[in-house]
Amino acid sequence: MSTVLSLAAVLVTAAVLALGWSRARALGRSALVVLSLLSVVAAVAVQVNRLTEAYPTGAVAVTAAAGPTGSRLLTVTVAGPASRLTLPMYVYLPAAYRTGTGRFPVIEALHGYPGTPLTWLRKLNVQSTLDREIAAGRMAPAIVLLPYQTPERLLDTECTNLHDGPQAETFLTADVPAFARTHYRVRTDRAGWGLTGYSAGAFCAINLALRHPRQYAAAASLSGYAEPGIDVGDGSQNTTNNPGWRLRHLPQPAIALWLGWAGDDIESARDSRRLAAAVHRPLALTTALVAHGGHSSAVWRQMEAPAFDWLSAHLARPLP
Amino acid sequence: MALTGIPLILLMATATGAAGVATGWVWRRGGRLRPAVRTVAVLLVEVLTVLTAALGVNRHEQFYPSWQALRGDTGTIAIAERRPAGRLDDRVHAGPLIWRPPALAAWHLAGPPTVWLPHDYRERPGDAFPVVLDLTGPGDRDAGPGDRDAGPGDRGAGSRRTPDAVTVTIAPTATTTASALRDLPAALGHDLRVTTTAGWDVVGDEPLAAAFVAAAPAGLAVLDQPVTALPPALAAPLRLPSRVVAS
Repeated sequence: MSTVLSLAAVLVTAAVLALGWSRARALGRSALVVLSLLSVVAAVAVQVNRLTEAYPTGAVAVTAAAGPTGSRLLTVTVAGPASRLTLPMYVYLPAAYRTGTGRFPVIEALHGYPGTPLTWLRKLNVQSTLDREIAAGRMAPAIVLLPYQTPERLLDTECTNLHDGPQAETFLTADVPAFARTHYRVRTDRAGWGLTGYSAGAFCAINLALRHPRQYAAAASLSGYAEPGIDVGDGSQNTTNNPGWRLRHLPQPAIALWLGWAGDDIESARDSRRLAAAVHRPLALTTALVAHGGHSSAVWRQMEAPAFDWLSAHLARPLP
Repeated sequence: MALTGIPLILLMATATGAAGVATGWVWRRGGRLRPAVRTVAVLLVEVLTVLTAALGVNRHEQFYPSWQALRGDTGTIAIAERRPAGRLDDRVHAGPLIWRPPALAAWHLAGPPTVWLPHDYRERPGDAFPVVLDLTGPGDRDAGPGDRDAGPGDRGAGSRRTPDAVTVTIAPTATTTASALRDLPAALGHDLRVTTTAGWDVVGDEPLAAAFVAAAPAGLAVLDQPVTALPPALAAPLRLPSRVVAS
């Protein structure tokens, strides 16, 4: 709808400019030009927002998409006492969650920047992907948490605790797990927890897994980076919040990493290869290569199911 | 012409400039069609300007490095390879299996390993199972099934069946070494449907078990973890071109 409206505005302002030019004086003509420019900028912004889902429009289907016995996608609000952040989160509950009393492994799926979890839901169709992989037996039923990572949509935290800023890392590694343990039947041991993400979310997944190996057993990176590319405020973007630096200078933890990238995604491919080259035991590494597709949702759609399958094979099973 | 190449950006910028000049030229022409001509001219300049800027941004950020990428063509398909049957799949039965792989002699064991399969092994022909490798020796080979479904407290009780996992019990001797056993996972993967990149729980003879875990490819084996921490038995995953780096 916003696309139609914004394009209509461009059309209308162009027509008004054309019709009103001869009748207006200098001030009026300037106003017409500015109006046209603004409409074009607005139309571009709408399209960029459509791509990134930074400011999502329209309601998300949060009811059971797979029928009364199928999986569910819930919208919740996580009030984090540790981080003092209160942010929305989507929760995927597999169909198996409806029956029985078992406890399930958990995957935190992180979004890119700029962006929101809506990209997972709309562009990557995460619910139907998970349903399909679980139904095919390639993945065990798991709970997937899709949290927001920043209280300000255009503030890039890279899932770190920004100096004098939002404590995103604490929110994602303390508050979100605590919320899940309180509200859902989840496994509470490290073996049952994993991370994934695309783009900046992929960096987050790698960085958080390396920083919290006692909490996460595995992480899958879809077009990630070796460094955050922001100033954390304490210099840690060059050291402890820099997976490349961590792999070279700190003992490597006994976790499993899956690094996927597109061959023509220059920065991600270079960083992923650099990370892969630095890995040594006990850290276990699997790499995945998409021939081309750049840094786009088409690539992440291609990686999504293989990454979830791999995660399931490296996380503990559901507890009966 | 490459999507991120300078020639395309220059071409688009030139077209934008030309459209601007043409707009100025037609602005006072067109007669009765003047409003329509002006509107089209303005829209053309706007579209070309946006396209030029978008090409510049895309060249800088490399979101879509090629026309293929722009079309969403990744040139890659994730494939679920068919899980091959184990060599012994046709011969497995309810009881324990005495396993005699070709490499057995090189392992210097007191006897052939005993293998217990999950109850539903035959009913799940497409799945690969995690493994419990028990180095405690042959122990009580007559032990019944279902004894290995609890935590580590049940370790070291000899041959047992583990729910949803293949249990292999071997009897090491003084000459059995971890390096000699390095090909055991591959040999078992050849004979039975088991995971060979992750999901091995190694229990029993502490120094040898620890050495086996240390010698195994990274991520394959864990020393004495709760059976409930094993991954599930799964069908062959969707895979992209990939490699496992074993360090």
